[in-house]
Amino acid sequence: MSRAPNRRAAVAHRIRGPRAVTSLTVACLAGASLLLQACANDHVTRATTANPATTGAAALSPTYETAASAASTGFAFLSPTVRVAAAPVGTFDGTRSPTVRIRCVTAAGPTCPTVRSLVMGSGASDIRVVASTSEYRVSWTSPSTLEVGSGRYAVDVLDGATVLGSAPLLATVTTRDASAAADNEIAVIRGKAVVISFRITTVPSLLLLAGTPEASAVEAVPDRAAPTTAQDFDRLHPVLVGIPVSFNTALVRLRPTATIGAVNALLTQVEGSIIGGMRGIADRVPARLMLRFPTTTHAQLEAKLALLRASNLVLGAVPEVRLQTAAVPRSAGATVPTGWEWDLRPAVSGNWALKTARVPQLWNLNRFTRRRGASVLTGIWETGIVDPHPDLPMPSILSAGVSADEHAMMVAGVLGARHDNGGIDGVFPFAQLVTVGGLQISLTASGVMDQLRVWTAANVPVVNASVGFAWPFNVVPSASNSVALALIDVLGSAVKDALTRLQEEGARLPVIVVSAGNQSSSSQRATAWLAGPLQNAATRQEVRAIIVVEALRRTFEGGSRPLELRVEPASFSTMDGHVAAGGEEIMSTTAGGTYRDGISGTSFSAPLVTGIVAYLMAVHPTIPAPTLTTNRFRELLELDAMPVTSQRGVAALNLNLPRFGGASISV
Amino acid sequence: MPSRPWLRRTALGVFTLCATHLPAQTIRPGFDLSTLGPLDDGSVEIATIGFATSFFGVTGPLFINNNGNLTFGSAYESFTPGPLSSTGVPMLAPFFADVDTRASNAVTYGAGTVGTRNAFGVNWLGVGYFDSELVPPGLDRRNSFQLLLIDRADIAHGDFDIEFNYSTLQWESGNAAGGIDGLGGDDCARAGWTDGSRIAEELPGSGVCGTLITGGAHALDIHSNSDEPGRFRFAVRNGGVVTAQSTVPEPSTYALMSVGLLSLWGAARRRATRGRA
Repeated sequence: MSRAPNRRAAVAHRIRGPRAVTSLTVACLAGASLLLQACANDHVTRATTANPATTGAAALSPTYETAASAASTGFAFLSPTVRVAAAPVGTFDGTRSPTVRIRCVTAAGPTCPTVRSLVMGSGASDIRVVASTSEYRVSWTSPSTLEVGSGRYAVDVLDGATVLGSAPLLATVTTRDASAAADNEIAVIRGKAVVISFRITTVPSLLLLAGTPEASAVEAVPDRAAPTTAQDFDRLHPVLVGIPVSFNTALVRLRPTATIGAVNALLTQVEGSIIGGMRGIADRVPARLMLRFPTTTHAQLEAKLALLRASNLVLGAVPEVRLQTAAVPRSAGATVPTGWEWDLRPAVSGNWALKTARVPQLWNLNRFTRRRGASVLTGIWETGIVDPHPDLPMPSILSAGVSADEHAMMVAGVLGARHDNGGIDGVFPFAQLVTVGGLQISLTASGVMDQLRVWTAANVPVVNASVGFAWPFNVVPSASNSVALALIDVLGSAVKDALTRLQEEGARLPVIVVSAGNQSSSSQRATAWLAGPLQNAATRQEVRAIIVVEALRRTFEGGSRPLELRVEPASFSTMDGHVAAGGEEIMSTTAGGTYRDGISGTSFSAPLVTGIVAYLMAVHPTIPAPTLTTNRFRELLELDAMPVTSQRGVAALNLNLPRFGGASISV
Repeated sequence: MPSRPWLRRTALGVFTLCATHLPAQTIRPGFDLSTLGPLDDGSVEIATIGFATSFFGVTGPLFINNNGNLTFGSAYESFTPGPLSSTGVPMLAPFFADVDTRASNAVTYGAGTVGTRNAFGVNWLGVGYFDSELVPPGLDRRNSFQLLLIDRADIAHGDFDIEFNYSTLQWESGNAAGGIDGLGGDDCARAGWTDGSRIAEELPGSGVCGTLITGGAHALDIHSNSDEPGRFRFAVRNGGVVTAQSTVPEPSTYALMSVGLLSLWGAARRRATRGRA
């Protein structure tokens, strides 16, 4: 089922306006003479400040449960060719130490190699067996005297005394001959090294819902993140082209009225084993089940999902999808800026995004905020953690397990870099940054939903999420692809389910600020509801707790200073967000205590808005937390935003630009 | 209308020069401190080359692959040249083919300079083809080519220039590609560069048997994308190949040529007019 895009969300694409935000703050804090005085000064307050205290929010990491013990073992050769095997599929049991044996099937002779048996890690110059992170590999350089045509050879893989698999070797001379090998044959070019890849998989026993058959199924679903690895995904999905999609793990929305007996019968029929999920509420809120199937291709998984979709117990069934951060690809030649640049010269990244958003005017409240000791837990939702940096407040880490992530470091800098210490200045220098680890391999659609539970349990009121589907940069997803749209809608609905349950249980929902995505090209604009589960939830499922942020770029008019700075939508930015902020040619912090210049992406416009939301929370803590249907912060941002003038032609690019019309922004 | 035999002769002369030009000596000396091999297939990882390179987002390490190419980030094991856009790894390929140095000169590499600029080079000078162990004496064919990376940090960090330099190329395919005595077969040599997945530029004749080797229609040793036959140059700026130096004259060059031709035509016409007078 697909619905028309949310027109309301498309109405007010504006640059958020700190000028008005400041006014709002004054109104909220009327009577604070010091504040009023500060507001009257339209300059940056750069008083020396101590680093806001940071406190950890420990013991709130999600619990990952292990799968069931091994019930059986499978074995498969992987695309045996003379070239390096393609990306492997399926799970991998690296705990086993197989033996590989190459033997002559016919009578051994001068042209037939003698039997070679090798165990893990052993090898000679011509044959070697190793286990990588996802597969076992045997490299064998066959002798130039290998007889082609008459000799018969085979390779065996043994686990102890058990032969797991065996395949005949086809001796050939050319790659063309080798390509003619049958599926069960491994082609060997005489004199060349052949890489024989194989995998041993441990298949868990089927895990079903526990409880009486007539009990509610959605309330029996365990609150458990689904463990996946990179090897559970490939980029060969026929619909979500280019995105890492799982071929063995799926997300299923269970109808709130389903019973345990009926669901277990269905899971048994489709061989779906429960590896995670999120509980729903009987008769009201759907549950999310994460299932693992014994499938190794998208076609196989799709057949299983088709059976699930045909059931009246299921509201939607889609494969698990990996996400990525939303930075624009850039050359890796990092530069260290010479200093924080307050100028507006085109060649300098500096702080133009802050200036056009009039954040410095907001900083007039810094002294007041510091005296109040106001701080706000501000979540940074990334693929890794934020490491210590001289220009950043020490972040708290909800769960450890991964190393620093450069993207997270850059997002953190835009959001909360310290002031007055010689580095750059973040929007909200009083943020208590909270980052999460352990997402390096589980930044998936379902992982996002699971993480919502973590943020609410930690009572983090505002979270930045510069993540989305891993659409290739500048490749506009086809809005006419109904299969993809239906699939993405299920993921967005599942996000709404998760937030609904959390809200029903009394949790305070955070303001979630997400990047709109970078899928637009210079000639075609992508829509945000295709950008990821959170973006879809905000724009298609109308979850108001989520704010979607587009990116702006700067343009200059006038050949000499003072230049008039104007902004317009960045060419890469996905549209249909709620507000926009500077996201092209930005400077921020990065790993190793350094800085990076010229970074771009909606990844970096989102934390600018996140910082403003956090600042609002600090100076006016009585603004109510958002709900599924209300978000005062979003309303304020949209109300106070200023229209953006585009310098580009409407007809030429078909960008739906009339809504950008209006006054320009000058600084 | 006066005749202009000088113009016809000049044009014909240029054409003739191009068609019969001997292989240029574009290979720069040096860059041979280290050796890879002798071997068939295989790679060596170069952790640093003395200056920064950024090629489609990959800064290193660099891998010299025996089979006539250099890759960024990971080694490339294939010995069969396929379309460069599907290598899956950023690659510079002056002559991607099944090089086998077990019975010929080995591949050498090392740092050096080009002019005043730091450079790193890989030499495939007099290298043979697979299966060298089976090549009968007297049928040996050898290829000589070179890859240079030239530091252009003077423009920006990570920027560099690329040179493909060629001398005599006598073979184009190994036995595993179906080649016979180094020629023909299913998969002939390819030359060019790629980001590994989407962007690639293959030189004219790449992958077409009989074209890139000496005497071929697009023989690399006498053709060029610069003003030096046997030398192909590319500029890598901000991580991407911005442009190959085109042999097509710039519009301004056309304008200058037009002005010159008109001047010559005017002079000839004046001489003719004076003669009649």
